[in-house]
Amino acid sequence: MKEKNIHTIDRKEYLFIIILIIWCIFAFKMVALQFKGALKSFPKIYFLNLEQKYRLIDGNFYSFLKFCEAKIPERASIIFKILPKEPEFRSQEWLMTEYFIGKSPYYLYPRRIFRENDANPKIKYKIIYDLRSKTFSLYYQ
Amino acid sequence: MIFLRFIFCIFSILITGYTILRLFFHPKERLPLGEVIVLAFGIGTGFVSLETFFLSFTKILLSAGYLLLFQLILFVIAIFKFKKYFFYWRKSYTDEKLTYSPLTLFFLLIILWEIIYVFLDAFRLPFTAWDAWGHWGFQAKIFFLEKTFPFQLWTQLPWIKHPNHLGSPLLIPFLEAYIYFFLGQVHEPLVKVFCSFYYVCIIVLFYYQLRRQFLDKFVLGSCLCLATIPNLINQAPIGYMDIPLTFYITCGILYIWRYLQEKDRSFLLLGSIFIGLSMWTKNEGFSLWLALFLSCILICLWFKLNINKRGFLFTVLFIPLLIYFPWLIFKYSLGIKVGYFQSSLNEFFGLAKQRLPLILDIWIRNCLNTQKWNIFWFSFIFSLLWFFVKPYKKISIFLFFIVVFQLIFYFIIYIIWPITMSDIELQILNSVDRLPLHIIPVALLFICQQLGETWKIA
Repeated sequence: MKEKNIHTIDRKEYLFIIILIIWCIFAFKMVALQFKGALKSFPKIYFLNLEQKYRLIDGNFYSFLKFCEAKIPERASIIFKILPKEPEFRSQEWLMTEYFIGKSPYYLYPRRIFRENDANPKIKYKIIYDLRSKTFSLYYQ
Repeated sequence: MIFLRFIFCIFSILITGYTILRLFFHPKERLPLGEVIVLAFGIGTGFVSLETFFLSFTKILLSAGYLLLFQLILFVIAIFKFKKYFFYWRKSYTDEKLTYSPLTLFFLLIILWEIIYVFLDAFRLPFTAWDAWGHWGFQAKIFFLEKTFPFQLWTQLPWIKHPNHLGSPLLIPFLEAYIYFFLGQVHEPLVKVFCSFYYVCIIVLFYYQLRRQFLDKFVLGSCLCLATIPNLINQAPIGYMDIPLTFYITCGILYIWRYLQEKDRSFLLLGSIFIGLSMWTKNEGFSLWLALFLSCILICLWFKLNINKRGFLFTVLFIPLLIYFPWLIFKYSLGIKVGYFQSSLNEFFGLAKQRLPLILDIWIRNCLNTQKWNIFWFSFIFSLLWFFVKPYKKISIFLFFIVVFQLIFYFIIYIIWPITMSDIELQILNSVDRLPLHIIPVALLFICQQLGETWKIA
């Protein structure tokens, strides 16, 4: 049988108590921030439907991909091309284009997306991201 | 409607897990209901992912009904075996109610808030973390839309051709696909909510493990520490695999630890199965299995354990492999290789000299950051030093060994990773918040064994 859960503190136990107090001081900061964040953002986002949530994350890019989804048949192949040229490795622009190239197959599957270098030049559909104007366009050859 | 489907999906997993536990797992002592639910969740999720994987080899397209059929067979067998006693679960002494005091209520309130926060955060948005959509989420979407595992297509997908992504085990993608089959659509926020259950299960499991040894205030205080580790909270709702992996690792090690305490072989079997599931979740589970095996060898050499040591080592070595082997065979039959192990031993030492200072610098600075880990690693180092001066429970060095070996394996992977020095820095920075999470509950158990001496139930 389990013993009674009544306990008096002796000196050895102060150690755990001290750790716990310091822990709680740091944890309170985090909990306060969580409360603040929850009150601020949750009511705005919570009642959105899934489509609206996607638009919230990816904005115009998501709208553009929905347009592509409507125009391009399933299982078609698409080239993702960047203009005027691929951005410098690890630059902010590179990170953005990697995001777009990564997200396109996620949203457009079962359509297949290829980078220009890996792609068969005969592929008819082309998504072009223009770094200068930050715009997307869809071409069909 | 979608919520009802989601609840039905969770129940199917829980009942399947419970059925398997009832059929194959017979501990000498009854477990408390909360612990049984957590175990049913762990076993159930592992089973449905393996089931989805194996059924992909049949020519029938996957659907919720097809997947349920096999679970139903198991369920019927269990009902025939146990009849009306199937759902009967005798009370365990750890089912006793908590002794409530203002302090325990305070601890409970904070833990409860963290759980609510994680669920709210999970349901807020679809996947936003890169690997959650680009890797596992995408794979799950492919399984769902193709209604099978598209073997041929798998190695041809140019956008996931990165060897680490193809070579990664598939428990979570199959599990996410399983949820999608029930929902009838891709619904990322609900999958994130499902993944948040792993966070709750880690805390509940840790609670029951400690409650066998320590008084309520100490147990809840420790659970509060676990539940409020900032990095754990940050990772729990985003849909990464690290929290499920942490759960399987924690289950595995806690039950093997319990076997060492109570000598009940069913805990050894259960722990080994969970280690196998951790290997089927992420490649880091494989290094954990090695770390665990090495730790087991060391304690077998060091301590007189009053167990069949050969049987113990044999079980820890081979049961996890049984679960991992189907994926391993499949991976090699498709020609997927993980490109880590390319450097020779000489190169290894050269790379270690070059990279180790950077690795240690980033890891130490990260671990001492109170905004990410609170004072967890300070407490761990303090407990360790105290342990070396005055160990209260010598066998808890077993837990310490696991932590150390796992960290060493992570460092070795960084060292041999065939990428440039600037890339390795990026990779370390990307992973340094996640990798230590895998061993956090084990490290906390070690701290509790040392600090909790005076809070023990007599």
